[in-house]
Amino acid sequence: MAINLSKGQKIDLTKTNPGLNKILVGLGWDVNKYDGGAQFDLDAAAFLLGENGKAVSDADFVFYNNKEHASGAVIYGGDNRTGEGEGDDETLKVDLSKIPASVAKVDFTVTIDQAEERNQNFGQVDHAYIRVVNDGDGTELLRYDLGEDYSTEKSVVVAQLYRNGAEWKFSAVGSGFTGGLAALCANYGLNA
Amino acid sequence: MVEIQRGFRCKIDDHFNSASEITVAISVSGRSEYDSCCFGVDSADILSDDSYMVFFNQTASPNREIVLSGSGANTSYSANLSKLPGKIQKLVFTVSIDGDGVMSQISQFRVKLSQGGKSIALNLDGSNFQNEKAIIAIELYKKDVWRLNAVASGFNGGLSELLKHYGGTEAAPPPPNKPASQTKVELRKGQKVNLSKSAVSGEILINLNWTQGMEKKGFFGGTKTQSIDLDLGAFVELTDGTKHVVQALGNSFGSLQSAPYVALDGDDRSGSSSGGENIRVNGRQFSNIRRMLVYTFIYEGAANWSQANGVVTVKYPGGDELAVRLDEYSASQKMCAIAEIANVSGTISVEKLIRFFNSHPEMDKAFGWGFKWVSGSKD
Repeated sequence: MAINLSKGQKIDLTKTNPGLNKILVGLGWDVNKYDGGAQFDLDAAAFLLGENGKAVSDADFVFYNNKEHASGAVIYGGDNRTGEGEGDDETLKVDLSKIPASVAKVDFTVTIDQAEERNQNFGQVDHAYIRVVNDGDGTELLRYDLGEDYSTEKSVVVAQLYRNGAEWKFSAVGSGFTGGLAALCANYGLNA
Repeated sequence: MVEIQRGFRCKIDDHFNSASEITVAISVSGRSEYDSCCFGVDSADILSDDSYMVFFNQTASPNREIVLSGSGANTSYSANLSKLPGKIQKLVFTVSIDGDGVMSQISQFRVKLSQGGKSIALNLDGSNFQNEKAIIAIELYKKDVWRLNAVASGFNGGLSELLKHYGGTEAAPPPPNKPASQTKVELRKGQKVNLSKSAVSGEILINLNWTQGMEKKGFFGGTKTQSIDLDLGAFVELTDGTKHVVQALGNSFGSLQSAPYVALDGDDRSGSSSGGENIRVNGRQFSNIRRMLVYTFIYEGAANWSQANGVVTVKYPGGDELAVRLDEYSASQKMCAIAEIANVSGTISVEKLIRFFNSHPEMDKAFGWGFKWVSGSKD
């Protein structure tokens, strides 16, 4: 039975699921409800961060142009350009055992491609969520529905995996940024 | 004044009091003809009750929770969110283009929500759009609490595509205004028919026919239904400014030969009279009549319009006949304004209204008649 989190909630991931290493992080949203106007293209990404909340290099930013972290710990599952279809729109596979010791936390984000040019934002996105699935047996462990709190933000830090001693915990962050992907990268100490 | 962008969302109570009336004004300028519409959908985003579709043909929802004023490119709605029935979870305010043109050609698009001295405004222009022919301007929706989403997105397919999105369908094209004689025309709400001057000679006959107890009876004649007394009436304003009420209540049956030149022929108390109740208008004296409001009301019994099977027809020389079936409506008020008949430079204009009210004074106020009302009863 998956646990539904609300914004700001933090929960044990590995402590309550001993032996868990391989997880699938699924993100979904509903866009393009209307047939007029520009298409929406939402992209999921992961930032592997040090204790200070910054990424060491561009290699620690896993997204559609850098599909696999050098450690093999985080693999981007592919770009869904339209948000069509049931279930997860984009996924990232994470192997907790392969995450380098220098990485203290992994942030999962969603941005809108060409948000500025198309004048799009998260107020136009419905039913956004993130879920964590045990990649071994397909069991859904956690789910966080983002709800109605987004307005004109162009990117959202959806959730964070972070070390707590030898264990991993999950935090339902849900913070919106008015800047797009570039602003988000800057926030993590990268020049995109 | 708070300026917002497309996509903006907030809780209504962050800016206004959601328990009070909020005004939503929508204005569009550009080269096309624009129509606005507001409809209430259920939790599944379905337009399950089209009496909650408020537009030029139906300017208010059943209990006046949503009332439209203005028309075309400049419309304003008053919305009482807290008075909406529970099934209505979202109000969708739309703008559509009637005829040629697309939304990228508009020069200005403005939605302003206001209450008291506070307001929120969304200002866009054609650069925000592409080939849409119908857009959702804003949505007011309930998710725990009432919220605003400045959607400003839409459909290239226009209003019919938009309605399809909400599970509705566009009505078939209306019948032509001047059909062959001897046909029965069912007017769309708000549709006006103008009759030629030659038609104004004999008499205009407004008939209310109703039956009751059409419900299935049990084997032993059980399920006795409460009897209903449905009455026909009219307000008449003459060109000399005098105003008259013609109805059985108060025994004001009117007169054909003297003012108000409108008369009621009788009072069918039970629905058993096969001819029903008739109001006649003396066509030769039509030049003395400025306007008439024809209405029907339930004098006795519950407000159960579907049970009364009422049909109001308006017949006039020339053979056309306008029919309004009342059993299609499920309003809880006991009074229904059926049609307005106006003298427009000598020709008769008939407009179907179908607006429900709780009382004579309420209806009077809505149409600006200004009678003084005291309660009365039949003998």
